[in-house]
Amino acid sequence: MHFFMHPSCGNLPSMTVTPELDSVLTIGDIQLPSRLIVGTGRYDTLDIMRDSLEASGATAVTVAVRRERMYDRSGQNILDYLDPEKYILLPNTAGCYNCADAVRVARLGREILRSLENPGSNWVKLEVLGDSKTLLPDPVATLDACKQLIDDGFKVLCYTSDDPIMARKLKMAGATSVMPAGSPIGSGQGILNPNNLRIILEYLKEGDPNYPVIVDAGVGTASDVAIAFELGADGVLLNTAIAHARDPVRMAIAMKLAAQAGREAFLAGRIPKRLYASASSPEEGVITSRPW
Amino acid sequence: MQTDVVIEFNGAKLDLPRGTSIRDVLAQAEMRTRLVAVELNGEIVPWERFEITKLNNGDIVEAVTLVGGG
Repeated sequence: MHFFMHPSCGNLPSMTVTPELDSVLTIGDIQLPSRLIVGTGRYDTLDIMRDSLEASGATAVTVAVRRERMYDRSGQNILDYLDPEKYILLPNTAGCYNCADAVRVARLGREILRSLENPGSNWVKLEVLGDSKTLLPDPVATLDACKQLIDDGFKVLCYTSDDPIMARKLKMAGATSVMPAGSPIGSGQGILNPNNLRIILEYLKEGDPNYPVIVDAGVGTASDVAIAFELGADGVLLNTAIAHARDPVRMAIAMKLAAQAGREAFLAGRIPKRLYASASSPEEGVITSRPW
Repeated sequence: MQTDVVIEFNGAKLDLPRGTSIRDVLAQAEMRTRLVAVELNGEIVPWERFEITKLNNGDIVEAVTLVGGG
């Protein structure tokens, strides 16, 4: 094979600046190599789930606590597909509509993780819902449950709406991470109110830049993940966008790349948006005329 | 075997011989003890106590595990 090479190309200056690698996602005392946290629900099969989780690069995955569906049709438990050496399990309180239920389910989830000796065992993804149609959080019950669980030794990763005031109250109550929804759970609408997310990030990181804010819920496709990170989110938690994609494994790859792209873009610092154009090629030395 | 203890296990009535332990009930339901958390009358029973915890008439037992979720 022959490559054309311009005579001057033999001495190209080499790259002298290597960007610093992005730091890991630190949540409390746990460090995650990936900034994506993915859910394990709604997959057609546990095989597809396992492969999708692997493709996403996530090392923390959410799980629910239930007495139903102990085993799937072929007699398998989800834990047969989640290597505890590989994944930190984050039990959720999904399906809870009041404080007492959320606290109860969180304790049961912690107990299962204790017997599995999983390092996430004091973690809980707290969600206390107010309405089964919107799956929007009940802010009053969420705050109550958050306080009770913290008193009980939990590290609470708290699902909430994108309301900045509520987000601040949850952080003040001691939540290890506040996790605002981009849009309703499973809706795939992406980040409906980026300005609220901007304010949440400003409030929660003021004087505490490493406080983890994780966008939880609403992601529909890869660009939603990229936008969350470009806005400055520390992590994104998603489930349905991968599990219900036509090709979940491929979508998991897309989400992984989007997370990396969005985070790097945030660290790099985007240019401001402007109304008019700004030429990339120099004006000096032009040999052409201008119409106006 | 004499049936003299009736409990509620995950919402269903269960007739058991006296002296049945939580571990026995889980085994009967083909549940792996390390994959479940158990509540007895609303209180969590640590897995280390499944064998020594015997069930009494009217006990309410919930056994939960982890399932897929977001």
